[in-house]
Amino acid sequence: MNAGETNYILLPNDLLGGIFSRLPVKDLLRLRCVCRSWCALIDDFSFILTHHRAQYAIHKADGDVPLLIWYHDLACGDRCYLLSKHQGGDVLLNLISDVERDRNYVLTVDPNVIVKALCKGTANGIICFEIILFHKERSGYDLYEYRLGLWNPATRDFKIVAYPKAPDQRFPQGGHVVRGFMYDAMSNDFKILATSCIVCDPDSYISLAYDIYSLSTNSWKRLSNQPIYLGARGPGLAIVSPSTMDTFVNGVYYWIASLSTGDGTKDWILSFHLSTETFKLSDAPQGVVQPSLHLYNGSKWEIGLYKEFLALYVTQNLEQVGSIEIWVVTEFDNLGAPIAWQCLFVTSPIHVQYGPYAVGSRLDGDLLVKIADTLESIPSVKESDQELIMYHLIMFWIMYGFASNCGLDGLAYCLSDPSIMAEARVPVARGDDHQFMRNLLQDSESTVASLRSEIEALKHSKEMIEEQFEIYKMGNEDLNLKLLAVNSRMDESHQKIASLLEEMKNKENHCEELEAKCHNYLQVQLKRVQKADTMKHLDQGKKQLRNSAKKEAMASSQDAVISDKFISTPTRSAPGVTSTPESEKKLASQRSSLLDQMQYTDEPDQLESPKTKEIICTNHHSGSQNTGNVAAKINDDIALGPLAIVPYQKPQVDLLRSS
Amino acid sequence: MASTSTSTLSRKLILKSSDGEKFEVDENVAMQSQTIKHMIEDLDDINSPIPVSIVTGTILSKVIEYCKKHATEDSDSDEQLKQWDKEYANNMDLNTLYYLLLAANYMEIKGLLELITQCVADMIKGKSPEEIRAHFNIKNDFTPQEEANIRNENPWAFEN
Repeated sequence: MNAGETNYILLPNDLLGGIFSRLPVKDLLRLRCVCRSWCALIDDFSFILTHHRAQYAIHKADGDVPLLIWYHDLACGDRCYLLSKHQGGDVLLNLISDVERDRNYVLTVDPNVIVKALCKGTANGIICFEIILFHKERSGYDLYEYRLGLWNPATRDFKIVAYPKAPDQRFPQGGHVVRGFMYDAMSNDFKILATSCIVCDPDSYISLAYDIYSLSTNSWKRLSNQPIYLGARGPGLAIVSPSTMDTFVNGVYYWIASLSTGDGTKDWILSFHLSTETFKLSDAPQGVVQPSLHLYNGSKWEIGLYKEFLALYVTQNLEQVGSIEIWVVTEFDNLGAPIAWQCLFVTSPIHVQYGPYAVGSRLDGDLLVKIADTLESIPSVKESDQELIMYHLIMFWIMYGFASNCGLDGLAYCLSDPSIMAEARVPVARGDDHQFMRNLLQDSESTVASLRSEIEALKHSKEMIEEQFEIYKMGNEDLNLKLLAVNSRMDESHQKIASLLEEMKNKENHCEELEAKCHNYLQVQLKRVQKADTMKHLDQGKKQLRNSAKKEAMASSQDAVISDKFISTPTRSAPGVTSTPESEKKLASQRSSLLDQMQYTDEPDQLESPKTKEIICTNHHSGSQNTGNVAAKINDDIALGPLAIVPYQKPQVDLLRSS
Repeated sequence: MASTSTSTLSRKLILKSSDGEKFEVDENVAMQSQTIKHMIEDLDDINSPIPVSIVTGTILSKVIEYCKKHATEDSDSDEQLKQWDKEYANNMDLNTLYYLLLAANYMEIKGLLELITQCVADMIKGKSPEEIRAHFNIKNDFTPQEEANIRNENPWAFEN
C-alpha cells in the first residue's frame, strides 16, 4: 500500500466519469468488475449518456461518424454493413454475423424456425428490427410470428419487444408495421411508433391505429388524436413510406406520405411531433416535381438528414441520366413541420439506369446513393454547387423484389447512424438527471447559436458577394463606357487617317498631274524648238524654192502657184507656230529638200497631239479626281470600317452593360 | 477599483499554495485558470497573494509550468505544443497525476484537465481488471461470486 495516499476510487464522479468517457465500451465492461463504486458509476444512466456524447464528439472530431447500411436479401438473408472511415479510406464492415450472434442469444433457435430481421431505424446507437419468425411446421395464421428487436452493437445487448396484443381476432397478427424508431431526449427514452390493422364493424373495412412504445415503461400506448388520413379506410388513407435515412430531428419524425384525394394522388411531408404526439401534413417545396410511380423515368423523393439538416432528396432520372436535388428546411413551425425550404444544390447528372437515390449522408457532406446497374463504386462525381462532395456510390438492387444479376436484392435500408460506434446501452431504468437535461438544453442552445451564427456568416458572405458583384458591375460599366469612348476615339482617328490618306492621294495625283503637265509642256517646248528649227529650214527651203521658182518662173508660172499654195498649207496648218521671215527665206532657199520637208508637214498633227494629250491629261485629271473621289469613297468605306464594326461591338457593350 | 484595467500586460500576481508557498506569475499565465480569473475580478487589491487553497506548492509549480508554456503558445507550433504536453504528462507519477487532476479541476484549466484525463484513460485502456487494480492500488470489494456474475454478463469483453 505504498501509494495509499492517492486513491483513484475517491476521485469525484465527474472526474472519473471524464476519464471513463474516453474509453471504449469494451474497457468499461471490464472496469465494472474492478470495484463496486466504479461499477455503479458505469451503470449510472447519466454516465451512459455522458459517455455516448463524448464518444460521438470524438468520432465527429475525427471525421468518422459511420453510416449503417442495412438491407434484406431474399436469397442471401439479412445484410448489415457499417460504412466508416479509417485512415482516410472507406471501410465497409460486415455486421451481420454480429447481429445474428446477439439475436440468437435472446431468441430461442428452433431448427424449424426461420428468423428474418428487417432494420427499421436507428437512434442514439440503438438499432430497431422487425423480426419475422417463420414456423415451417405450422400453418395458417400461426405460420408467421412478428416481434420487435432492439440491438445495441456496442454492448451486444439484444432486447425482444412484443407488439401490442392484436385488437381483433380476425387479424391475430395485427398487421403491425413499424413506422419509426426514435430517441426522445426530453424524457431519456426510446420510442417505437407502429401501426396495427383494425377491422371495423359492421362494414369490415380495415383501418389503421397508431401505437407508440416506450422502452422505459416497456409498454404500448394507442394514439388517440391521429388524423383521419392516417386511420381512414379506403381512399383518403395516406400511404406512409418509411425513409431509408435518419429522419428524427429535434423531437420530430418525418416521412413522405402519399395521399389520394378526388383530384388524384399527391405526396406530402408528414411530421410527427413526439412530445405532443401530433401529426401534421406539409407541402413539399414549391416547384419540386411530384414523385412518379414509373420506375425508369421520373422522380422519387426521399427524406432524411443532410449534414444535420432535414432535407428532401428529389431524384430525377430521365433517359438513364439521373441527378438529385437536395432541398433543406430553413424554417419549421412550432410542431416541427417544415415551412420554408431552400435548394442546396443539384448534383451533376450521372449516367445510370435507376437512381441515384439518396441513402444517407455523412457529416462531412459525403452522400451515399444507391444506383442500380453497377456494383462499382464511382468516386467523386462533382456537383454543380461550389462545394465539392464525393459520392460514394454503392450498388443496391432495390427493384422491389426482383432478383438482380448481382445477387443484391430486396429492400435497402440505410440508416445514417451518427453514433453507432459510440457506446449507448439500452437504458432500462429511466434516468432523472437534471444536469443531463441542462446539458442537453445547453447543447441545443449552442447548436441553435452556432446555426444562427452560421446563418449570419452566410448572410454576411452573401452580402459581400453581392457587394463585390456590384463593384464588378460598376467596374464593368465603367470599362464599357471607356471602351465606347476609346472606340469613338478610334473611329475619329480612323476617319482622320482616312481623310489624310485621301489628301495624300489627291496630292499625289496633283503631283502626277503637275509632272505630266511639266513633261508635256517640256515636250511641247522641245517640239516648238524643233519646229522652229524645221521652220527655219523650211523658210530656207521656201527661199530656195522661190529662187528656183523665180528662175523657173519664166518656164512655168503655174508651177509657182501650186508651190505657193503648197507652201502656204503647212504654214496655215500650224497656226501656233510663228514663222519668221528668215525661216521663210530659208524655206525658199531650200526648195531642193522639199521631199524631206514633206515629212515635217506631218508634224502639225504631231503638234496637235499635245493637245489631245492635254485633254487626256485633263481627262486623266478629272479621272484622277474621279478616282480620287472613289478613293475618298473607299477611304470613307475604310473609315466606315470601324463604324461597321461598331454595330457588332455595340450589342456586346449593351450585353455587358445589361449583365 | 479602476486599477484592474490598467497595464494588464506587465502585471504580476502572487499565487499562494495550500502549504504557504508563494509564486509570482504574469497575469496572462494565471488567467488560464478560470477560477483565478474570477477571483481577480472580485479582488480589490491584486497585490495581495491569491490563495489556491487545495493545491500544494509541488503541484502548483507543475500547474504554473503548464500555464507558462501555454501562455506563450504562439512561439511554438501546435505539433510542438502537443509533443511538449505529452512529455509533460509522461513525466508525472500516478500520485502527481492524481493531484494535478484535482488541481486542474479546481482551478478550471480546461487544457490541463483534458491532458491529464486522457493520460489516465490511456493507462486504463486495454488492461484487465486485475492489472487496473494493481496499477491504481484499488481494493476489490466484490465477493468472488459477485465478480463472476459481472464477468458473465459480458464475457466477450474479457477476451482479448
